[in-house]
Amino acid sequence: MDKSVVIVDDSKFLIKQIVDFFQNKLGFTVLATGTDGNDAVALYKKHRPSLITLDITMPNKDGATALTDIISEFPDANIVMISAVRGDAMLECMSAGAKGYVEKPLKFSDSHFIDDFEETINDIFS
Amino acid sequence: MRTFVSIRTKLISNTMILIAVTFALLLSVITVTNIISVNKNIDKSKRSIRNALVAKGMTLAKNNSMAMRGMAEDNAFSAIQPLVSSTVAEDADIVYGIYMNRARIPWVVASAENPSGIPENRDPRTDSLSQWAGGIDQLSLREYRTNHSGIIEFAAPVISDDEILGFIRYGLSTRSMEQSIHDAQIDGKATRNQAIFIILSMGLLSLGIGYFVIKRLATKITQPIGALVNSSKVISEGNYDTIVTLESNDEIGDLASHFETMRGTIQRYTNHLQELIDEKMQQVNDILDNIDQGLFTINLDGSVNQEYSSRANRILRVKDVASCKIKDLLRFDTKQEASFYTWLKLVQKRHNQQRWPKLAKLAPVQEIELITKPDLAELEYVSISYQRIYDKSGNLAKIMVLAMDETEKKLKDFQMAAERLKHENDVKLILTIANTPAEEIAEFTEDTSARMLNIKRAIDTHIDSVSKQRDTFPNCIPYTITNQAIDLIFRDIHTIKGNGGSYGFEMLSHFAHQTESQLEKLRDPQERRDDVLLVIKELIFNMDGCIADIHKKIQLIFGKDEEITIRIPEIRIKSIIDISNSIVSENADENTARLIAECTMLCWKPLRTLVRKYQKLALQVARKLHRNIVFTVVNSQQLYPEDSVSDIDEILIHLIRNAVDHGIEAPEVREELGKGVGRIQLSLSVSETKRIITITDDGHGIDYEQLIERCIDKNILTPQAASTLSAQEKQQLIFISGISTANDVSQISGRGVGMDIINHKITSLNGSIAISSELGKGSSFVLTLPLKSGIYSI
Repeated sequence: MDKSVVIVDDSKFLIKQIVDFFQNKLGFTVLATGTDGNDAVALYKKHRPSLITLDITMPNKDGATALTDIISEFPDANIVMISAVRGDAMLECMSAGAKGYVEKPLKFSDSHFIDDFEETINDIFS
Repeated sequence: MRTFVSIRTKLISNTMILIAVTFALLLSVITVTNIISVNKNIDKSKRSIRNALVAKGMTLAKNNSMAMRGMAEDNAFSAIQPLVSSTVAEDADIVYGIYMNRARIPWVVASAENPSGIPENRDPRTDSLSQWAGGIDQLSLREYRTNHSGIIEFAAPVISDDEILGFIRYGLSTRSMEQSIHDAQIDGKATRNQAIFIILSMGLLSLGIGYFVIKRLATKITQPIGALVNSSKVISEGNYDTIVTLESNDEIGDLASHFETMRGTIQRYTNHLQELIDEKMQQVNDILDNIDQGLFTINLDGSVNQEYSSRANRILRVKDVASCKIKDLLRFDTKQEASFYTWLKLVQKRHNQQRWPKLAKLAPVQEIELITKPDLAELEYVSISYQRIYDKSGNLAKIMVLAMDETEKKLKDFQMAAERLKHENDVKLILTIANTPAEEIAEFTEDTSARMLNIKRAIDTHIDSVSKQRDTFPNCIPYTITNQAIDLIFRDIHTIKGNGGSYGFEMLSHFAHQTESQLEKLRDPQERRDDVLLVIKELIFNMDGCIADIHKKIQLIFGKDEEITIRIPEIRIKSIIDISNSIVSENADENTARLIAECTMLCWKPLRTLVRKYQKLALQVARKLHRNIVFTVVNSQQLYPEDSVSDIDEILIHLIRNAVDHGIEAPEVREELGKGVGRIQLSLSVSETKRIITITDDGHGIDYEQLIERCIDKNILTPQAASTLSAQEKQQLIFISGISTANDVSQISGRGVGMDIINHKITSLNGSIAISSELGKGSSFVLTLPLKSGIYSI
């Protein structure tokens, strides 16, 4: 199984944390990172990773729009939403084709959080 | 696709067909045999008639030939002629009679047209028949046909003494023969037709009789079957109560009685089954009734099912859950309703790929607030959770909705949250007070008490006067609260607000601010003064509460270790210091040295006093930018000379402003990052050779990457140079004028002009500044400066 990932979030600090998690905990190869929806679409097209993570609130183009853009061109894309947004927006994203979601704040020191994150990712590839 | 054909019809039609076929067969056989026999008879008749004719002809010819012998010898032409003609005339069959001599010269040619027999001429006859007849030597016949009929010619030679004298020829018509044959044929045909007719009529009659007989018979047989069919139809529709009464002494009767037995069995069985089901349903209902949760189920299309626990009615405050729609039960607004159906679709699609808790979390309603008593505004809190229900084949069939009354829990949560908030406020208060020098606190409390007294007096006066005015209505003396009077109160409140704010007494400031707003209302003649005044009185009461709280904390912190302090005019202290300094100390003994040191330190102040203004500044900026911070000082009790940080005043102001503005993130962002309240810390350490002042924050940190980008943008760096920068060099970038990574130029900082000035100033003081920063964790600015001219040994 190709374990490559592209990570998109408007906070560079969070990108670092997420990259670290994917690389060291989950054994993924991080192909690229981006900070807005436009990056997301462009990077997906360029690298065609086995997984892409999207924040929802981002400048220029938000995660929900990027999601639909990517899915319309690549219906099999594995997309995980990582966001603090609750309620409708997350439901809409899942309905639009996201394969999983992780809620911010990212409590990497909390074992429950880590388990949930890991499970979310593993479920996509099983 | 089979079309229904009843047995009766089948019986009747088959029998009819059988009869018809039989008769048809019979008919054909008889017809054919008849035809054959008739033909045979006709042939037989034909032959015998012909034989008779031939015999006649032969006999005639022979007899005549013998009879004519004598005449022919005598050439008795006149005797032959009448013989032949009379023979011809007598017999209708004889068409002609001819006597001709050896030379074929006709002596007699008698026929119907020429009864006399006198020939037309005496020429020898040359026709082929005559030629043939003239060549015979014995009795012969020849057959031929004319237009009218067939003719058999019988010719016999007339012989005398072995000599042929002539020939006698008679032509006999076969007409009568043919006629007889014809008649016979007609008879035969008539017989045949008769037979056919009889057969046909017999056939039709049989068909007719057969039809009625069979019809009756078939009906009789199939009628019980029809009755059975009707009974079984009723039973097949689920009605097992109708008894099958059918008596017939044949197999159908047996079938009917077995059927009846079967019906009885099924009836008993299903009744029993129904009883079992009723029993089970009762058990299920009992269980549901006893569950202390509100349970109900919905189908995947959102429709509510019949089964639910009775507690559900109470919890959801409806009469009957099953008759409600899900949107009414869970109190959806239009948006939530749409989302719910979206969620249901998602569940249907993805419940096999997603973990249930994650899916269930996406449902738009996880808890609802129900207003129980609208006037008392009492609320009940109900938590909603969702579970899956599978059918026997393991497919997702329904969703179970659990409603739990969480009012108590929620109220406890609220209480706890309120208490926690109060605790936090208390802690903040305590920290603030602890960080403030006792004198300042004393000053604050004195000032505030005095002002509060003024305010209360003024407000009470106004309240009294206004109510007096109301009491003496309508003969009242109008009482006005002038703008000046309001201004006076306003000024006091405003000062308290400002002081409270700068010391970090948030609640006090908050109430003071609200009082200000109410005071403004008093200026408006439209407002009801007594209402406003009462509100102000309430707010002042709250302010008193805050002040009392502050007092308590002060007691807590300062009360126990209250130092004995005396007030001495500073001038006198300074003169002692000067005198002690002027004592030349080269050969001074230990005690003198200590005396000089103590004198020097008389005017030293605790660090917290020296940096008080920076604390105030930090809190002020934080309040303005809506950041949440605490400002702490390390070793705040430590005594230092007054000018310890005075030379870097501007620098500290700038660094602290930066820390709050650029460093500490907005509360929402900090929450997303899991950080709590922002922390800004200041420390001072002094050694024999230098002072080190550190300002640390746990905010966003410096984004060096962005800094480098800006440098490249402004052509300060080339991309190649940028890629080869060391960590140290990166740090130095921050001091370049015009480079600010602040995304919005706030009125506080962000023009990119500050850091270079700082660097310049530090350098001019023979000091240095070091920066360490980690993106997302915070920054730390370390100023290293030489000692001032004062004596620092402690």
